[in-house]
Amino acid sequence: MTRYLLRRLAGMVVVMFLVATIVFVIAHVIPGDPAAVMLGPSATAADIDALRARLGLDASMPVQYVQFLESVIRLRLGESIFLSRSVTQALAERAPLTLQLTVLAAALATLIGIPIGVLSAVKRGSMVDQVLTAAAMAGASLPSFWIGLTLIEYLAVRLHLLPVAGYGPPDAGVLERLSYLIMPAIALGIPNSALIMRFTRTSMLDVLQEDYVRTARAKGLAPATVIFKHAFRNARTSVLTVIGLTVAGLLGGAIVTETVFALPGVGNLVVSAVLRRDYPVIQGALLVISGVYVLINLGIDVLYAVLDPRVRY
Amino acid sequence: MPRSKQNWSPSVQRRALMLGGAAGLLMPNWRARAQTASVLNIATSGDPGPLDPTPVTSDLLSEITQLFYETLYIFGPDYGIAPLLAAELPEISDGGKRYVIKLRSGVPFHDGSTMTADDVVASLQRWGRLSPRGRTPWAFLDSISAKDPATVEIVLKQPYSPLLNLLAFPNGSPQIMPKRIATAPDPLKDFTGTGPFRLMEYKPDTWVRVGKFPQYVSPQGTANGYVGRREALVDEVRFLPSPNPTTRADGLLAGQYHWADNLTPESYARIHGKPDVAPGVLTAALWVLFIMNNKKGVMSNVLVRRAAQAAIACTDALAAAFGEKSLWTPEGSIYPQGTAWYDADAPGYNQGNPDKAATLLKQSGYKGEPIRILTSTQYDYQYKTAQVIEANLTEAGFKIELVVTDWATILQRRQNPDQWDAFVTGHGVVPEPSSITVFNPSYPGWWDTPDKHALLEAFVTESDPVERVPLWHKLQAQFYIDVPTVKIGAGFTMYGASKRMTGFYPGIWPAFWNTRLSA
Repeated sequence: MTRYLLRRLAGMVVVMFLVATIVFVIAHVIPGDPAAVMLGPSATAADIDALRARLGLDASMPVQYVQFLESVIRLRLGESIFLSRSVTQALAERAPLTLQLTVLAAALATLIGIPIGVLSAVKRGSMVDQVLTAAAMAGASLPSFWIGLTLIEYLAVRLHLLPVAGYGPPDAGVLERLSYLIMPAIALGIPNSALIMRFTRTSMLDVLQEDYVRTARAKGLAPATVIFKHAFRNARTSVLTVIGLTVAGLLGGAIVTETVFALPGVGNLVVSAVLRRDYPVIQGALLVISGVYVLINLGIDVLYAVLDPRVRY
Repeated sequence: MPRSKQNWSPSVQRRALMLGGAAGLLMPNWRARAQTASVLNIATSGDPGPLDPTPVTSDLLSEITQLFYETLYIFGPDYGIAPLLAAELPEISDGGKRYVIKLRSGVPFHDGSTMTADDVVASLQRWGRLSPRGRTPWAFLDSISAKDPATVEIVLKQPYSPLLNLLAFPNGSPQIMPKRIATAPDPLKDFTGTGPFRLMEYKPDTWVRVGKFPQYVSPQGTANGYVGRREALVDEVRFLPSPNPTTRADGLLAGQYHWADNLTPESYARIHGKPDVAPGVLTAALWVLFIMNNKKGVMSNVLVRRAAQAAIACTDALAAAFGEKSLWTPEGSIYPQGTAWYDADAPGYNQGNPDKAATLLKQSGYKGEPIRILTSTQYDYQYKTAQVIEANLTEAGFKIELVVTDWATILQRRQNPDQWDAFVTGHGVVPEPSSITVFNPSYPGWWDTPDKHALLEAFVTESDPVERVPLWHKLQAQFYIDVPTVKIGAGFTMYGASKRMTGFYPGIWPAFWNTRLSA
């Protein structure tokens, strides 16, 4: 296991180098200029050139690339052009919010997806199964921004139950801040719960046809014991894969959700950085998100071994 | 036997109580806080970026920084100039080359020091070095000095009449700050000013918080727009970036925000007829411009540009872009009625005549080359305007290629005359005509014919405000002869405000001093 982990971590270094290169190229190939965005619509070419020189953006691409790689090796992500702070600091300020949102949305998606998936598999072909499957399809098809705007309309504007947007005033406590994350977590979690539900259903259907499940039933075990202790235990490795992918996907989904709900998280940071062409932030944020993605995949592989004794590395 | 609701087990009851308690703790808290009379919550369309208004001309940034920074002069409702940190209008002598500026005495900075002429000189030097508005007059600067602690003298090498107006702008602005800050290396890190509020905290994409400055010394006189008495009537103004216009309108309707900036026609319609909020438009309308490439390509031929002007139905474009009639105005005069610069004579405006356009196009020798129009969906009204223009021009015989990108891409592409033929943009009202971008020969579009050059030279060197008016009318006439740009019309910027708010000024840059929030 230790050797396996070391091998995977070494591979991660290569992957992250490739990611850094791709991210740098993408950020610089897209047209647009942070100096022009910062100066506003009245700027002339001379104004823009003067600011580019002040910001150090007039260096050639290879020079900027080498500077970028050097800073990455030193685990520094550079200074934001717009935010008057380092990219690391900007990410550190926003990561807790995105993390909370992702965990809440993932928990919601899992708590909805797994029980419904199991129920749907157990009641295969019945009216219950058909209704749940149709609901899952609808849930998976709804864009999270639409769910978000609908929730705002009913829960915030009409019923005044939850706040519309933002992350609470400066002195807000943990519970109050949580109230700002409920609607975004629902908007983000529902489409993903449908995915987990469908996957759980399929995995459970495969397992429920196995001989040992029939044997368990024949022994006269309670249906709940058969389903959860025998069948689901073997289906959970595949469900875990989809949960892992969902968590990674939620990071992408957070970009849209955070914009709709004006949440100052990493997703919002990425959108703003792209619109402003804040290269260091685009590069730094994408690099960190890719790193998290790779780590999640590694974590899932390790969990396989923990959950399934047959898996050995 | 199934359990009835009345027979819930103690553990279920305990859980239900806990959930209810948690909900009770969470739910009403945010709303109760929004109802306090001490914090004004303003939802803005985005983050303002670095809080130094000198190097940039962003209107959003000015809306925020004008609460903590002040300039020597300021614009009146009719675009006249009034003193703000200056004690009076300057004495101008030596044929418009010498400006003597008397300062108000006893004006405190937020750091406790008192403003002197040395601070003003250092601040203006910084402006001349960094501001796109300051660099032009500073090219004519002979000297600037503090004559005594309350008097500043500026001597120019040649008359430059826009100087006074440029000193009044809150963007690209010559805000006055202590000398120790004005002479410190860039970028600005200390935002000490003289305004009725002082900066408390800037957290990018989260908020800009400004708090009441109790030692503030206000200019005298009845409050009238940006002029006259200023007072902080709330403890704090909080600017909250909320990029989605529907979310801004919803936040206003739910009572979380007191003001929602820059609404779209759709989000504006949502707040109509609601009991607690009032829709409104800013007093100065945004100019919608179709700017053509005068330097290179097909559009550098004036006959092609005149053909485009003949083809465009401005009222159709405005209706598509802004919706209901009260939100736009078809006006050929560059400046609106009621201002000194207004001139109704705008020949060729709003023709929508494809036959005339086709004739002009034939005379021009146009051979069907594609016309690349840059536009962005990031600004809804610009995209809709571009779509109508595309239809108008196509009907007249133009071959149009609509290039839809994000705004940052347009800002870069338009700097290169080989990459475009026209683009649609909005232009905020600028009280000084020579600050209109299309009159700047370096601005994309590059309008610089000899006649226009001579007229602009005469206009910026004429120091008598009365004599400047007919010169401006000649410049507007030249605008309709050369057709460097088609002025489509003016669209009003929409906002929504809580009915609890009173005393705000919905000018070019909405102002929130003198604003009270009832409980």
